[in-house]
Amino acid sequence: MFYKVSYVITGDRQPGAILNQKEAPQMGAEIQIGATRCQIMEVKNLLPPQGDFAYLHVTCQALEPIAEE
Amino acid sequence: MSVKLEVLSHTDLFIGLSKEQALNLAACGEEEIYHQDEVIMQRGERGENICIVLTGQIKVEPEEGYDLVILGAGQGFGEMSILDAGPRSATIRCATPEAKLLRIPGPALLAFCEEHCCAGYQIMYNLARDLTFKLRHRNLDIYSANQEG
Repeated sequence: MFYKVSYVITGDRQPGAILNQKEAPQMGAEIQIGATRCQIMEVKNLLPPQGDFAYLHVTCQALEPIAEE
Repeated sequence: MSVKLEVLSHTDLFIGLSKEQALNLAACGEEEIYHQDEVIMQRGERGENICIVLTGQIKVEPEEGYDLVILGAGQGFGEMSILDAGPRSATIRCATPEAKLLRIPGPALLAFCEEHCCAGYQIMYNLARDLTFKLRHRNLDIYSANQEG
């Protein structure tokens, strides 16, 4: 099974991400989105699975402040 | 051209294609490597190809300094200009120290779809599903931001 995941980062305005991954996201796990290290807060099904794909929505929070560009 | 089948198997564009079809389509493209913040596509320019992220991440920047979304391995981008012949609507930059892409020329993709009708239908369906997923993601992002006030 592959997981197509919509990541939304709460808090400061930061871009979320869409990532395809082999392992399901787990609450409390950390993930790198661009330059931001995030912790997963919530995992939900977004769409019914199709074929080998599951479609998930993940809410996460940044673990470190983002430097202004 | 040596895109690994393992990578293609979790790439949206190739869902439902046979291994042979996926490899033949991938063979239409070229692999490219980009480095942190390097521009991959420029907003406003004519779009003539679609890209698939093989490794690393890229960021979509509709206006300077505003990153809309980050896309990782398996994700495609640049499809809008292939479908509607309009200019690029956002600048795309590399968001990780390195990102490897597969760049497929639009005319080659469309020719493949015409030549292999069933696979072509599947590819167009995959593109449509991917676009709807991106819209859903965008809506969730807006909803989340509004909930926070």
